[in-house]
Order: sequence, then structure tokens, then C-alpha cells
Amino acid sequence: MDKLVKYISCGALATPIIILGIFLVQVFIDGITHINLDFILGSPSYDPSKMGIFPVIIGSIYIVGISSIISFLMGLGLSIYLVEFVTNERFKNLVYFVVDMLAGVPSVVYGLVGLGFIGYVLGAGRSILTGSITMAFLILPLTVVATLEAFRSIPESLKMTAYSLGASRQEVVTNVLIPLGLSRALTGSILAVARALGEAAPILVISGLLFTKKVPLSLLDEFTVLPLYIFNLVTRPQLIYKELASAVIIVLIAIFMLVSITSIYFRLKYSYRLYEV
Amino acid sequence: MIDEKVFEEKVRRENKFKYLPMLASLLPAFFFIVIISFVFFEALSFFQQVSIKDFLFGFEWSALFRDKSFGSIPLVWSTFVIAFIALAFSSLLGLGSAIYISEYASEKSRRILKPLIELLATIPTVVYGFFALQYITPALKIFLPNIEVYNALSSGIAMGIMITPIISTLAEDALYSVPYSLRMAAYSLGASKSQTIFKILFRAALPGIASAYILAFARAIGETMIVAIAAGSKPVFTLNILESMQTMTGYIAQVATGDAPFGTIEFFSLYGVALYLLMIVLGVNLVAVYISRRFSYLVSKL
Repeated sequence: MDKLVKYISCGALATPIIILGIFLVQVFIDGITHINLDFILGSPSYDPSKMGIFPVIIGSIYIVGISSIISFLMGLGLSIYLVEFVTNERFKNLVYFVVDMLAGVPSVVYGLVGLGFIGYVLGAGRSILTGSITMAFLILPLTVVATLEAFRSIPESLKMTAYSLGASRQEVVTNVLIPLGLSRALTGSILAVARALGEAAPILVISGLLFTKKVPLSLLDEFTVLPLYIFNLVTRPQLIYKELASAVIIVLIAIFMLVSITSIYFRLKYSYRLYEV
Repeated sequence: MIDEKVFEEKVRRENKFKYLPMLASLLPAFFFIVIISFVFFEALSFFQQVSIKDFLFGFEWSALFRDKSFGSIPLVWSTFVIAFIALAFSSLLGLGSAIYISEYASEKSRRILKPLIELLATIPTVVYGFFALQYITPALKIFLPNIEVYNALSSGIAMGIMITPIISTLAEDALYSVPYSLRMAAYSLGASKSQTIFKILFRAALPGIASAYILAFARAIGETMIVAIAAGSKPVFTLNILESMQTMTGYIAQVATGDAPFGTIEFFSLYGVALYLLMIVLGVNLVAVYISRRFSYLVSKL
């Protein structure tokens, strides 16, 4: 009986991993032949054999970069305040509750509010600016989890040492909390970055199904992003588009892995600090 | 001696410094209020043209035809059907993998498996939609020859694979945090490992496991891209899960791609549907929060 439970639960763990593994291998086989420099650096074309995705990659980089920075700064401020300034447990719980609720709002609703409020009411239009601010709030709950965990993990003794040496709160924050917590907070935020990279629904609402050859430059330009482009390709029936969609999926996963490896590298490089002090 | 001036200067700076992070901690609440009130007020202009009674209890949704009718039951029905398929598919897989990671895996493999599962959760949902349309539907066609190209079943299964990591991560947290003493007590009474899992750990971790299921269910209800790709765009009220169905999020995605002009009734209907969706999802989330808070109190008394 014990063995049975063990094997069944192991099977339950393995099933989704194996299914996804098979799918990803299939995607790789279908898409890898389409990946070359012309595909990465070319612009979208109505002729599927000349299809490129450069403007889409740039759109994704803009959205992910700006939204991650905005949301990381907000998360940083929020967790520093909650960890170091607030003593009222009820206030803390209230903030956690609101963040939980924010995490529960479906992403497509973020898109509708982003488009309606930032896009139309505040007048930013269907632009990169609207997209990245919306995305920043969408990933905020994930960033908050990462930054909170990083700052909570800093030993109380280090802070107390600083206070006993006459440091003010500001000095404790800038000289103890931030240097010690930052690398952990950044690596924890990788899940948020992944979310920003892969989320298509809010961008679908904000930018529509845009098909453009123009590389977005200013913050007020129209744009499209990689996951949305996959959606665009998947909805067409011809086989070639299925292969192109696979190719874009490979690019998306490659970018994600690049970001993760960089973050792991930085974690390994800077994580010694906590042990050294 | 402390120099009075230096001291005062420090206090002043201290007080000023506080406001920036304080602002950041108020932003989520501010934005949450903006979301709710914006969707609410836009939906109001929709409900000025369509009666709430017709919207809530109407069986026909034909917003994009010339003869418009805004009865939301087909959309809500499809949303719940697909979310239930997802939950049915993922419930055992998610719980099983949680049991394995928490109870059977060694500490070392736990440290590898847990991030791996979390990594699965970062696969973009649009990719799951691609899987549903290109791989799952053709595979199902072997067993169910009369399945439509766009259907509820394959998007439900893809969604199930998507929410499995959520269930397994949260359920594993709940199982793992059951005090070690409870396990030891069970063993000392002669219980086997499986008896301990099913009779002791499950009961102790039940609130956590239940809220894991509920949160995953909420995610499934709000998920957009999978259904936009693989479930089709036929807002019909049907029991047949091999047919195309349109969920609430699917409708929003369809209108968004079709570029509904600002100010038309189609545009405002987006916010009507969004308000309904928001209320359902937040309600479900509140239940999850309530369960895990209310009953974790009981567990701590064990």
C-alpha cells in the first residue's frame, strides 16, 4: 500500500512534466528550421517565408524592461516600508490582503482598465507607455512576494548593530537593507519578469492585433509583443503559420532562459555577501 | 554630548524619508480601487442600455450580430464548464505531486523539484493555447472522431496542465508545514506512511489544500489566451464539451481583436462582462482567503 501511494504520487508528478516535455520537443522540431538571422532581425511580412520578428522582440523588451523596473521599485518601497517602518500588524495584513486581491484580478481585466483608464482617460493611447504601466501593476504581487522575502530574511542582529552605532533609519535602509537584500530580491523577481514576458491577454486588449513593420522607438508608439504574435500566428489555419508560431515560442523561451541564467549568475556572484558579514 | 542641531536635522530627514516607501505601500490599494471603480462606472453605461435582469438571466448572447441580445448565461456557463474540466484534470495530478514532493522526495530532490514545478507555472498561457489547438485536439480526435476543431475539452485539459503547478505548489506548502510532531505521533501509534498521509496530514492540511484548489479554480476562470485560441467563439449554451464554447474572457478577447470602437455598445459590453467576471473571481478568491484563515486557526490548535 505504501509503495502504491508512492508510485501513484510519483506518476502524478511525472505526468504533466512528461506531457509538457513531449510538447516542447515537438515545438522545437517544428520551429528550429525557421530560426535564422533573417527571422530574428527581419520585419513581419504577409509572405510567411519572409517572416521576421524584430519589431516584436523590441516591443517585448520595452514592455518587460519598463514594467519590471517600475514594479520592482514599487515592490522595493512597499517591502522596505512594511519590514522596517510599520509596527501595526493590522495595517500590514491589510496591505497583504490588497496585494492578494490584486493578484486575483484576471489579467484581461488589467488590460481593459489599462486601455480605458491610462489609454483613453489619461490619453496615453494604445502605446508602449500604457502597456508597460499596466503590466507593472499586473506583476506587482509577484514582485512584492520576492522583495518581502528578501528583506525579511535579513538578520535582525545586523540591523540592530547598525542602530546601536547611531545609524538613522534612512542609513539602515540604504546601507544595510538594500545592499544585503537587493540581489535576493532581484533573483526572486525573475518570476515576475517571466510573467511580464509571457502575458498576452492585457496586451491583446491594449494594442489589439497589430501587424506592423515599424520598430517601436518612442514610448508613445504602437507595439506588439512576442506572446501576442504567437496568438496572431496560431489563429491562422495554414501549416506554415504553425511552424512559425513554434519558432516564435522557441525565441520566447530562449529569451526567458537568457534572463534566468543571468539572474542565477548574479545570485551566485553576489550571494556570498550575506555569509561574509 | 549630542549636538542639538545635528540631532534635529536627523529627525527631520528621518521623517521626510518615510513618505516615499509609505507611498509605495499605498499604491496597490489605490490601484485596486481604480480597477474596481473604473470597471464599475464603465459597466454602468452598459447597464443603462441593457437591463441587468436580461444580462444576468438571458439565455442568448449575440452581441456582435445586428440583432443584439445580451444574455450572459451562455458565457458564464462555458466559463464554469471549462474551469471544471481543468479542475477535474488537475486535481489528482496536483495533489499527487504535492504528496510526492512533500512526503517521499528526499530533501535534496525536493529542492530541485519545487523550482521545477514553479518553472512550469511560468510557461506563457498563449503557449498552452497553442498546445491545446495543435497537439491536444488532434490527439483527442483519435479517440473522439466527432470532436470540433475548437472545443471546450481540449482547452479545459490545457488549462488543467496550466493550473497543476499552482495546486501542487500551494498544496505542498500546506502539507509540508504540518508540524513534524503530528507525523511522529502517528508513526508511534503504528500507522503506516500512507495511513499517516491520508488520515493525519490530509486533515491537518485540508484548509491549505482546499484554498489551493479554489485559487487554481479562480485562475482557470480568469484565464484568457487558452480559450481565445482553442475554445472557439460560439456563444452557445450547450452541454456538449466536444463543441466550441465561448467563455467570458473569450468574448473580451474576441471583441478586443475585432477593434470595437470606443463608445459603441459592444465596447461597453466588454466592461459589463468584465465587472461580472471580476465579481465572480474576487468572490472565489475571498472564499479561499477566508478558508485558509478561518481554518488554519483550528489546525494550530491540534
